Amino acid sequence: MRLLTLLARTTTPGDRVTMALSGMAIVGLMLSTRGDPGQRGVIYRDNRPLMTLTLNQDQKKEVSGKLGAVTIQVEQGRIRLVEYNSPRLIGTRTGWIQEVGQISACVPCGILIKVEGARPKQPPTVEFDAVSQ
Amino acid sequence: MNGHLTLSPLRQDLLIAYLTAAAVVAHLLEAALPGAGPWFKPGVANVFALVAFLRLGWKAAAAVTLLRILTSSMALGMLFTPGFWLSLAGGCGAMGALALLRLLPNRLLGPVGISLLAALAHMAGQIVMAWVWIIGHAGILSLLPWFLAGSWFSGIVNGVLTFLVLEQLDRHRDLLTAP
Repeated sequence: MRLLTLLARTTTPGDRVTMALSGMAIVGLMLSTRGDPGQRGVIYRDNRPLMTLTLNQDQKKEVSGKLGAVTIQVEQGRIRLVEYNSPRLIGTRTGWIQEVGQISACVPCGILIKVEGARPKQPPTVEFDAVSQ
Repeated sequence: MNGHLTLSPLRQDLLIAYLTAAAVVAHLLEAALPGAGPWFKPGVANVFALVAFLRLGWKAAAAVTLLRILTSSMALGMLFTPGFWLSLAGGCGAMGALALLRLLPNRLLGPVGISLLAALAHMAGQIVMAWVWIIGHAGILSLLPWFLAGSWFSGIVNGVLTFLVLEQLDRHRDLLTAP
């Protein structure tokens, strides 16, 4: 109740409309980004596909990011990113992701994981990456 | 609540310096504290930029923001790191939003509405910087709603804090304008 009183005292009608409209827009954006269960996790470094991990096989991989080693873990159809030297650890704290379209990123490391479905447009593979490098 | 102070250039510079110092302290304290979640950063330092915007104008707010980002980044050893550029992009986004909000009628939005829109623009600026320059992958945009949700909440809280700071500042307006 005190919180509502404080909000009523400190906001104008224009503020309240702005709060309501922006809140609804954000909830709409969140709902529109929900997807189906993913099949593969594609790991990108500096926007280049580095490797693809299938989500139905538990595994751990280590890749080299701008700030040091970054561990990618797959378990029970989910995937997560574990970085150690990033200032805010946003990728690690994002936790497990498992739906198509979800991503987890460590921006300072330049590493991004994206969950994809069964049929990729151009499936990047570890082998392809090894040849191209 | 909206209304500029008329101060001599020296007093205006002094107030900008005080607000910048307070913003730097808030930024450093926030960096030292554990975060509340991956999508949420309180951004209390922005309260002082908003106070500068509402009492001294856009240029003063831009000065407080730029000086705060530079000084805090130097103190944290993050100058010209990706974190610094993300901070700067966020600051530019918020300042862009404040520049546009100047075009609105004076009493349409109070500190809370202004803070909310600036916080959303701040986050949008950071995500665009991460997308275009640091990560380079458009997939980062799918995180936008979650980060915006954190910014929505912090924008409102900081707007209320700004209102309370302005109340105190206005109560002691004679100290600022005394000869």
